[in-house]
Formats: sequence, structure tokens, C-alpha cells
Amino acid sequence: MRLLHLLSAVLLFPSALTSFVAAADTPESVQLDNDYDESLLLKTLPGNSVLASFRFVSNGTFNDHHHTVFPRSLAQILEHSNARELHLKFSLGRWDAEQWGAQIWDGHTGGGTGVELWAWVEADDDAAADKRWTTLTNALSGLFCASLNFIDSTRTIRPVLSFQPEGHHANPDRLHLLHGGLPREPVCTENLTPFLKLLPCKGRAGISSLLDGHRLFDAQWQTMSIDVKPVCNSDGSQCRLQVVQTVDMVLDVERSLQRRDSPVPKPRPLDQLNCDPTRSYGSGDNCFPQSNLADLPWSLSEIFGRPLHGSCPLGTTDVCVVAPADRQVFASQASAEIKTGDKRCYTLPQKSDFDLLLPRQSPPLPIEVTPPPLYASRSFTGHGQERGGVQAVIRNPSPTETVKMIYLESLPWFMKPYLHTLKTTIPNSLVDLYYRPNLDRQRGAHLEAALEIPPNSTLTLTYDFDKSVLRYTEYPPDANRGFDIAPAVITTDKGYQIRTTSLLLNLPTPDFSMPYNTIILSSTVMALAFGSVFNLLVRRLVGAEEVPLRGQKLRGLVAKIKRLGEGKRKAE
Amino acid sequence: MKLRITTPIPTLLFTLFALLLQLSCVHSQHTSNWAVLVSTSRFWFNYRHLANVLSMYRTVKRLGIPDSQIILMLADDVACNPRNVFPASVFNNADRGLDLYGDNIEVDYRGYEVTVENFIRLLTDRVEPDTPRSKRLLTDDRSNIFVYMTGHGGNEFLKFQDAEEISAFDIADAFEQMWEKKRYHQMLFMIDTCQANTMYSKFYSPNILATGSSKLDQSSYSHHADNDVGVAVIDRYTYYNLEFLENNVKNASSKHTMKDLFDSYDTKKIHSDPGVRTDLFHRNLDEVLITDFFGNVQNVETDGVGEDEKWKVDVSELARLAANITSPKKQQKEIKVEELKGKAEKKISAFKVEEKASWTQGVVGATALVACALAWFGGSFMPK
Amino acid sequence: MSDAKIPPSDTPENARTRSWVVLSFWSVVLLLGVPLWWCTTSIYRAPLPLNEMQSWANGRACRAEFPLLVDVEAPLLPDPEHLLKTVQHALDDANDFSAHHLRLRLSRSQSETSGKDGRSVLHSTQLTSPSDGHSDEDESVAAILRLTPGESGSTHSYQLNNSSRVIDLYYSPSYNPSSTASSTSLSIFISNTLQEIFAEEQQMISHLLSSATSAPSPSPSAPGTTNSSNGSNKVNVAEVQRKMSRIMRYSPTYHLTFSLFTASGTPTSWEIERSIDDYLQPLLDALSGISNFTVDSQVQFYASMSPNVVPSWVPDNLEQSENLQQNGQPGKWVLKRDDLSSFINSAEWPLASITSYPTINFIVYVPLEEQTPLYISESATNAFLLPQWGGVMVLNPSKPTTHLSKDDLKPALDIFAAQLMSLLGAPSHPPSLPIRLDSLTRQRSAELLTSASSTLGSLYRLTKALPSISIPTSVSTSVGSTLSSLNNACRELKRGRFSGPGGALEEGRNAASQAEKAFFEKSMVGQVYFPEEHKVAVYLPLMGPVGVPLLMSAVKEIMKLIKDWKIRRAGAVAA
Repeated sequence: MRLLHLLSAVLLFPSALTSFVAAADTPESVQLDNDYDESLLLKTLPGNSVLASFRFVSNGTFNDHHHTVFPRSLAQILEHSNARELHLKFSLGRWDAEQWGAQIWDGHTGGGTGVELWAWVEADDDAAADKRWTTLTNALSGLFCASLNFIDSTRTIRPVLSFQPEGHHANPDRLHLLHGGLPREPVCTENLTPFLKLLPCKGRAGISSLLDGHRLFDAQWQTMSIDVKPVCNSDGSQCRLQVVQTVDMVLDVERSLQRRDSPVPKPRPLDQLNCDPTRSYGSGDNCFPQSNLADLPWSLSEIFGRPLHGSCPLGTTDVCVVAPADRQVFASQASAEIKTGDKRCYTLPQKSDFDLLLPRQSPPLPIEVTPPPLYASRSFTGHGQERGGVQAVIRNPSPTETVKMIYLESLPWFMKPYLHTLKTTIPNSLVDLYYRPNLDRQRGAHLEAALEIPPNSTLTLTYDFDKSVLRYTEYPPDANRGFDIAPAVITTDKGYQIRTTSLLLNLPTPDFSMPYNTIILSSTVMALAFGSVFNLLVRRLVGAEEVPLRGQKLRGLVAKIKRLGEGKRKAE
Repeated sequence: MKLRITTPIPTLLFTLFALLLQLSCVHSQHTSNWAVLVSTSRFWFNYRHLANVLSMYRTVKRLGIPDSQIILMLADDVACNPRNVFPASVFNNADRGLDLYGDNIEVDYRGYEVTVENFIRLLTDRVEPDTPRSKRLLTDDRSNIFVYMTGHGGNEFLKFQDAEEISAFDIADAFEQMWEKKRYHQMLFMIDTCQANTMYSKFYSPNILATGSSKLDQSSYSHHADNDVGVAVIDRYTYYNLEFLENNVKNASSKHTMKDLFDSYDTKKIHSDPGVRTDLFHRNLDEVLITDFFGNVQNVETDGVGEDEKWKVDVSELARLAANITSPKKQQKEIKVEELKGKAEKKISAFKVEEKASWTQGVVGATALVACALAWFGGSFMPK
Repeated sequence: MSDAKIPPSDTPENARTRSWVVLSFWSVVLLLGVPLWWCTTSIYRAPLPLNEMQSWANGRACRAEFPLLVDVEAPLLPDPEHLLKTVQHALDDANDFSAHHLRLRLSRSQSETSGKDGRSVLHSTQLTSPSDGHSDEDESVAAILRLTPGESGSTHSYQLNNSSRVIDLYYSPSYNPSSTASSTSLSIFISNTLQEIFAEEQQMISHLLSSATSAPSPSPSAPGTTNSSNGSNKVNVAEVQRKMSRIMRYSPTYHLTFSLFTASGTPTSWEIERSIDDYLQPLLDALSGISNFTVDSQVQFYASMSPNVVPSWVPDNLEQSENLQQNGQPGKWVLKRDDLSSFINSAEWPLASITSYPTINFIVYVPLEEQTPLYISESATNAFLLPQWGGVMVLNPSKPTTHLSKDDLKPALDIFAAQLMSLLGAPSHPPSLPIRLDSLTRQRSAELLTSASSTLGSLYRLTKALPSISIPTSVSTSVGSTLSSLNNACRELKRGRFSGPGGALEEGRNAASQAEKAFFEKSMVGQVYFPEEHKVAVYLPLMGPVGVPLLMSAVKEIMKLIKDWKIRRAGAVAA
């Protein structure tokens, strides 16, 4: 017992002051040497796009209230909510896998559209875990200016297979995994501002000085992610709490350069259009655009709108460019270049600005992209406002490998799937299925399927669902837009994660502008129903001939008008 | 005060200090400034309401109120809206000279969180237990609050996101509750909607200065539109308020008063009759500085000349003295050993769906069906 | 043209059945419908003890008293009781604020021995009297006054020890107890001494108690209109108000954040943890009887000041320099006092904490190398304090360094300790630490008492002013618990038990927290006001089609009844 205590003490109380020489694993997972590292990776993509990945890694200590590089606000939140590992992603846009290939960092930095959050929370039982999850989401909503407090029990699921803890935990049995997402959440500068405030160099020095909301939110795909996890070195003797902040974006070079010239996108004048001369039909007014004529020139200060101010002295800074070996890359003077294959890395000068310039290259050089292990897309089928279907098309491009994957769906409660209609086009591809049905207004449906896709084949997964009618107060203010359904998360067994796009579900929506019409309608119904019954019970019914006529004057008038009318007609 | 004249600068400092001290003793008795800026409209064509609020946000930030004391409620995201040609930028003028969104902005309530209930909870501080501090109005009886609301409104109501409305009585009751709980010292209520003056007609709590853009049965109008953004970018009343503030109140030490601001309202330019309500505000408007509401006052205490001993404490001596004092609970340095607690109980999880090929379920179901059918038939044969 | 058509006659059973039908419909409406409607639309308001709440809010329920017990030891005086009586008279006469008064008492052990043999025998217990003054009784002693003869030729003087509650009063050796002039002068000196020591506390408590009894007043009160007693020490009410605006509101827990903000990338680390453990932790432990503290720290780099704060260069040799440019000549950078208000760049400095209890921030700022040394004009310690927020100190390291050691940080911690004590409200005047902490306890008890009472008053006025707000039962439970805690606190105050379990501070703490819980009950959001049109719109579809036939049939039945009754009466008259 005492040995256990001792072991746990050793594991949980590292001394930050002892110097360490840790055998670092791959630089991505364990970087325990320094307190702080940052790196920028630039990759040219086909179609004149540039992928920029900013990565900031800070190491702090456990259970310590004294912080240097590790952001104190985040440490407080983790302590307050007993969260041991946290992953928060803000994403916008769509990763075009056909053109750009596999996602960077194996898709771990990208989340679903909007906000996605999953965390391992330590608690004694489920109720305590839910309570701590609420604390966590509320605290994060205050820190990141996002409405994360909307992630309540109706949007939370406990995935079984899809997510594995990335950190090294001392007692994983006490951890509860909770996952929630808000596909409708806008991501804008107010989310970037607190993100930058967590960094030690705060956008003043180092690569964070390039981050500008005006360019980041103009990208075709961008994601900001925060991953906090405990990491230990290989023999487990030294453990630290690591936060990895990543900003990835795919910028379109032509669009960025255009913005520099004129902020409002205006169409190009006719003589500057590149028309395809090989098209025979139509000439003069018709122009078939010819793309990929050249690799456009770009530089860091042009596409980001501001220069890189030196390096951050608190840790190491790396800037690397991955471009075809024949493409020329010029860097500003005070930096040294290290070249390994396609990758060129630079050390930054201390205080002066740094810039990279890639000149124009015509004809364009072919860029190799690694194909992803899977291509996935998802859409709705069916019509009408009562029911519909979901169809997910997953393609395995590899000619030799069978891909084992897990498909995770988290549906809102008003979308009720029918499990018996779950079908796959490839027989025997469904290996395992985990399901938790939905409860109206309490929780949504949670579906996890483990699938196997043979090489060179396409799997189509379909299931049907019913739509519910919501109560008047449950509709959002812009109800006619539809309801966003969170993206499906696909994880391969090699750890690659992709997400489909989110979907827009149209529920039967009342016309909110007619409350008084409904009042009139309902009063008519009441009058007919109650009035008829009451009159039958209370009134005495007699024949019409047995009662003296009333309203004789009116009848006389009506008869006169009739005679007049007949007289007129006879006259014509 | 005897002045030691060495160079002009310390003299100036002294006189400035004396002046400030004078002013601070006579006029402003508040110790903090807060701002609640609310835009209640959703959808792209209400861009101007968000631009109104962001202009006010920028003004109060420029004059010194920190983000922790500003509650910004934006009902829609217009800067990163796909319809916005200028991503992450919001402009209030067609010349696009000033980007209101900028690089440093914190929005506290956004999107669907901007509701009548949340607004009233914010004002009365009856929030949910886990609400973070940045989303609460933590004022006290020495705080001046500037409340600015804009959107679509009418006779004694204001629409929230086109789905619900808040009435003037609700706001008046909320302010009364704030007054009872001593949550404000003085308040400036500014509203820019149609028939805005009706919104403050129902207030009954003291120390509220209210101003609106148009009176009963009058609409408020937008100022101009930007052809590239595609919609109107600012409302008239707010535009002229901002013009005054940008030209005259350049920093937090400006001496312009609220009377100057209200006198600058020109009905011909605003195209509606702005109103001011002063009967609840027991101070002369020409004594109230604009920076009493728009700027931030931060008193500072230093150990000046003659107060050398004020903060000179030897902390090791103090520690020694303190150690001698027996306190009721001497905190034990708890060793934060996570006692090896047992495994957590996890009852909630998705269940594994298995294809059970067993026929027991079928037999049970069939038996139940047959039993029900027999019961039904049997009942129909029974005598009446 | 028409014959006189007469409908067939109606049978009396039918008529009666019809009447019964109408009656039954009406009885269902009245006996079932109306109560149901009443129950479902009425707002539940739990009963509150309004009278008691109001009396507490007006200050009539409890006359708060702060009796301070002073033990007097006069071993060498022949007639201490007479002296004590004179001193007590002098104290009572000079005291304008009677709720806070000093009670003198002869130290027990001495009164026993002096009665025996006329000479005092100093028991060992007297010499080593515990510094916290706890006696066997329930009361705790505020101070111990020890009268000893001074050196020859000296006048009356006193000396207060830093670490204990003992006031050593040296009376002149020429003191003659039998002469009235001499004893009067000594008693006046003793009463002035005691008053001076507890003056600050008395001002604060009198201000707290008097300013809290009034409802919030609309007009901005000019300083001096509060009903505080000035006492005989020429109290500056403005000084008290300044203190009140500086002191943090009471909270059972405070969070202390120590931040190192450096304008460049260095220094990168500081030995704050050890410094706090060694220097501040004993003080925080001593204060734990009043409030608990949680501590954390952070380092922020590239923390620039607000853009409108620009320090100016002041060269050392003022006469010789015409231009105020730094051209390699020695000098310093100076921040003006009005720059200090916007020193904290809240837009960029992350200072927020997520704790639900208040935070006190202490910042050490290291300026840029190009702007070192940076001084605050007219400041002896290069630091300043922000009321109700925290303190800032500008540290100029002698050489650019990456690590600040404990010795480097000691001057900062000196200042922070002093600022912490003043932010918490401890009176600065009596140099004895135990007395200061006791004063703080008493002050906080008064503050809690008044804050709980005023919250009850606010709740009372609220329930009266807004009849449409629902009041759940949890509110009435909290109010009940508040009232019982307030009663306990009042009782303990009178007994003189301020600190410790069950003391006035703890009861006051409970009362204040329960009162806040009652007032800020989450479900008491004001009912959204329904305009009359909405009410019409909701009730009309139901009431209209249902109500009109019912009403008409009721009217008809009543008319028929009246007609029958008239016929019967006419028939009876005729018959």
C-alpha cells in the first residue's frame, strides 16, 4: 500500500525545478524538454493554396498554482472542473480532400463546423461527471466568448470507441469521456482574441504575430484547437501538463493578393482574363477560364497582411516550408536554412522581421499530395416534413489496404433514427454497433458503428429517421433556416480522424406571424363544439311553421328589392 | 499646500492633482464605470444595429472602460457572416475608415443567448449558478452604468431577435430591483429604436438619466448605406452622438458635460425628435461630465511625499509576528495525495447492439399476442 | 297575412330539465372552473416575516454594541479601583459613540492578591499571560493595560508592543495617588491613550452602523451629512469615506493573484512560491480566522502598458539639460500620477479569475530595458494601490536578468503585505498586530450585520413593490435562517464574543450569505409583463364562445323565474 502511495506520489508530483533530459518521442507527442515551443509549417497545395499550421506547445506542472508559461486561466478551469484532458476545437469551412489530400496532423486538430468539445472528467459517478461537465462548459464559454453553455444534456454524448485519451493518466478508471458540439456556433475574432491571450508571446513576437482575424476568417478552411493533456516521458518519471494550441488554415493565394490590392472583390477586366484557347465553341464574349497557369508568387507578409516580428525568446521557434524541391524560396537575411527533402526550415532572427518569398513559377510544378485513407461525405435523403433519411458515402481509395473505421453520429432529440433501417451496401462490413436511443427533450441519439471497408470500394451507410414537431417556445428565432446537425466523426484504427460536413434539417415550422389568426380559429372551433352541444341541451326546438315570423319588415324590404331586380331584367 | 517649485513639471503636476482632487471630491462620487451594450436584432439587414452597438463599444473602450466591465450582447454575428464582403470587419461609415471589430474584442452574450430572460437576469444578477464572471454585472452602489439598447421597437416595447419582446415595465422593474439592492450609483439609459422615448417613460427609480431617439408614433431612421456592404451601416441618432463624442470627447480627461451632448441633438439632422428624461436625475446636467458615464474613473492611491511610512513594512518581521498568533484553524498543508479512490461508477453508456439469433423473444411475443387475441374474442362472446 | 302561430306548449318537466342543465353548467364553471383557474394562474408567494425584516432593516431590532474589555494590571499602585473608576468616567464622558465603548476591569489575579496582603504578588500566570488574552470566561480581552512607574523625572508615556496586546503605560514617578490633581491628570492620560489606540476602529464602526440604517437615498450625499459622530479626535469624515472606498467588501474567501508583468521577454521566472511561503503565508494563516485565502501566480510577457501611458524622461542633472532627451546621460523615466489610472492595460493583460469569490491582484511590473529605471512621481516605494482591486509595484532590476530571486522580490512583498492589510481593512494605527486583527474582526462583524440587515430591507421593499414576482419557499427558509443568525450575532456582540466559532463574525457571515442567497434566488426573475391585449387574446377564444351562451341562457332562466314569480304573486293576490 505504501509502495502504491509512493508510486502515485512520484507520478503526480514532478519537480519543475529539476533539470531534465528526457528522451523525447516524436516531436509531435512529447516535447518535455522546454517549457515552450512554437512552430509554423507552410505547405503549398495544388490550386494556388497554402496550408499554414501554427502550433504552440506549453508545458506546465500539475497541481501547482504557480505558472510561468502555462496559461493560468486554463489551469484554473481545469482544476475547478476536475477535467484531466480537454480538447476544444473551433472550425469553419470544408477541407477539400480531393484536391488537398490528407489532413494535416492526421486530422486531430480539426473539429466539426462550429465548436466541438470533448474532455475526460474525473468523477465518482455519472451525476458528478455531468455536474463537472456543466462547470467546464460554462467556464470555457466565459473564457472563449463562445456560447458553450448551450452544450447541456441534450447535446452531450459519451462515445465508446471513437476517442481515446492522448495523455498519460494515472487512474483512467475514474475518467468519464463527455463529448458535445455546437454546429451552429459562429467563429470570429472574439474567439481568436482569448486564444492569443493564452500564448506567452501574445501576438507580439514569434509566429503568433502573423495571426490576424481579417485573414484567418477569410480562409477557405480554418480551425483553432486547444488540447490539454498530461504527458510523461518514456519511463514515466517525469510528467507535465501540456497544452497544444493550433491554428490551421488554408489560404487562397489569389484571393489574398487581390484583397491587398482592393478590399472589395471586383471582377477582373476582360483583357486580364485567362481564357482557354482550346475551346472551340463560342468566342468573343465566352471565356472558359483556364486555371493553373502558374504558381503565383506570395510572401508571408502579403498573405498574412503583416510581417513576422522576430522569434519568441521564451522557447524555440521553427518555421518550415514544404514545397516542391524545385520551387525557389527566399528568406530574409538574418536566417539560416536547413533543408531535408521537401522541407526547408529556418531559424528566425531575434529581433528583426522575418519574411519568406516564393516567386512566380510558370509552368506550375506538380505538388504531391498524400491521399487520405478515406473520403467521406454525408447528406440527407427523402422529402417531406415527416421523415427523411441520412446517407453517408465513405470511399476507400487504397488498392491494397482494408480500412477499419468507427463512424460516430450524435443526433439531436428531434431527429429520431430507426435502428432497424440501418443498412450498409457492402455485406459484412458492419462489425460492431453501439447505440443509445434518444429521449424527447432530454437527450439525443448516439450511434457508433465499427465498419470495415475493403480496398478500392465505396460504402454507403443509410438509415431513416422521423422528424418531430417542436413546441412553440423551442424554435430558435430564425427557425426557418433549419436546424444544424453535427458532423459525423470518422476515426480509422490508425488514428486518422475526419469529419463530414454538418447538415441542415428542415423541421415542420409554424408560421410565427399569425398568433391572432390562430386565436380566431380556435375560438371558432370552441364556438362550434361547445355551442352546438349547449344549444342542443338547452334550447327548445320547434318547427319553423309553428312560430310567428319575426323580422317582417326586413322580409318586405328584401321582397321589394327582388321585385325591382326582376322588373329591371324584364325590361332589358 | 506649499509648492516646492523646482521645474515647471512638478508644479503642473501638483496643480493638476489638486484640480483633480477637487473635481473628484465635488462631482463624481462613483468609483467604477460599467457599460451594458445590447443589440437585439438578428439577420443581415440589421447590420446597422450591430454597427451602432460596436461603435458605442469602441467609444467606451477608447475612454478607458476595461472589457471586464463591459457587457456586450450581440444577437447575431455579422463580422464573420458569409454575406460579409469584408471578413471580420464591421464598419459604421461608408468610407470604411474605422474597423469596429478590430483585433481585440470580447463579446459576452452572442447569438441565441441574447434573450429577454438573460437580459433581466443580467441586470438583477439572478443568474444560473455556474455563470462565469465575465457574463455578470458585478456592480455596487458606487458604480455608474451606461445602458445602451438598439434594435426594432415600438410603443413601450423592444423586440428581441424578432421572436420576443421586452416591455418598458420589465426594464423599469429590473432597474428598481437594482436600486433596491444598491447595484448602481447613477445610470445613463440610451436607446435608439423606433418610438424610443416610450421605453423610458415607465422608469420610477431614482438617479436614472434617460435619452431616446424618437418620440411616440415616430420612427428612427438609418443614416446611410454602404454599397459594397450592401446595407445601411449606422442609424442617425447614434451617428450624431458618435460625431459629438469623436470630435469633442477625445480622452478621459475631457470636461464636456451631458448638457453639451444633449444640446447637440438637431431634429433636422436626426429626422426624429430625440428626448431626454431628467426628472429622476437629481443633478444639473451641466455639472455631469460625459466621462462620468462613458469613461472610466480609476482612483489610485500612492504613498506620496510625507507618507513615507505608509507601506514600508518589513514582511519578514510581520511574518514572525503573525506566526506567534494562534489562529483557530491553522491550515494543515494537506498533502494533495489523491487517495486511491475506487473505480468510478459508470452507468450511462451506449449499449452494444447484437443480433440475437435466439428465438426466445419470438416465442414470448407470439404468446403475448395469442393471449390478447383470446381475451378479445372471449370477451365478445360473453353475454351482455 | 300570417295567422297567429302559437308554438306547442312546453311540458313542465322539460322546462325543469332545462333549468337543471343550465344550473349544472354554471355550477361546473363556478365550483370547478374558477378554483382551477385561480390555482393555476396565481403566483406562489411564500410567507415572509415582513415585520421582523423591516425592523432589522431600520436598525430597530438590535442595538449593536461593541464592548471592549481592557484588563488593567497595576501591581504597584495602592488603590487601583479608584483610579479605574475615574478613568472609566473620563472614557464614558469623552465617548460620543456609545455603541463602541471600553470597559476597564482589574485583572483578576491581581484583585485576588491585593486583597490578601495589600501588596501584589506577581503570579506566574500574570507574567506569562497568553498573548491572545483568552480568559476562562467567554469574553476575550481586547487589550491589557500594564501600569508601571516610569523612570525618574519623566512624564506619563506609553508604549505598545508589536506582537501582543499589552499596553505598557509608564506613569511619572511623582504620581501621588492621594492628590486629586495628580490622579486626574493620570486618569485623563490613560483615557486619552486608550481612546487614541481604538479611535480608528471606532470611527469605522460608527460610520458603518450609521450609514446603513437609511434606505438608499436618491441624492448624491455630500460628504458630512452622514450621522456619524466625530468623537473627540477630530475625525475627518472624508478620510473614513476614502477608506470605505478602498477596502474590499467582506468575503469569507479571497483569491490572491500575484502576477509578474514584463514588457519584454525577460525575466522568465521568479521565486514567488518560496517568497510567499516564507513571508506571506504566516500572515495569511493569522488572518484565516477572518477570511480564507487561496493563492496563485502567473508570469505574462510582452505586457505593454496602455498606449496612452507614456513615461517622460527626467535627467538627473536638471539644470544642465535643456532638452529632455535621453542622450546617454543619467536620468530616469517618470510616470505621472494621472497616468497611473490607466496603467493597467485591461484589454491585453489577462487578470480575470473564474473563482466565485473576489480576487485581489498584486502585480510586479518590470519595464522595458529602454525604459528602465521607471519611477512613479512622488512615490517613496514606487508602488500604487487601486482601491478594491489590488496593488502594483514597478520593479527596476539593477541589471537585465532572467530570474528574480527571493531577495529581489522581498521589497515587492513588503509593499504587498502592507497593501493587503490596508485593502482588507485592518486599521493602520495601533502597531500591535493582534490588536489590529481584533479590530478588523470587530469591523467586519459590524459590516456583515449591516449588510445582512440592508439586504433584508431590500427584499422587504421588493416584495412590497412587485406583487407579481413569485417567492419560492427556499427564500423564506433562507430569510428565517438569516434572522436567527442575526439574532445570534447581536447577542454575541453584546457578550463581547467576536471571533471564534459561534462568535459574532461567524454568525454575521452566515446571516450575510443567507440573505444574499434569499435575495438573488434564481427563479425570482420578474414575470414578463403581459400587456392587456395579450390577456384579452388568451382569454377571449375560450371565454367568448363559452361564456356568451352560458350568460344568455342564465339571463333567460332568471327572467323566466321572475315572470313565474310575478304570475304566482298576481294569482295569489287575485285568489
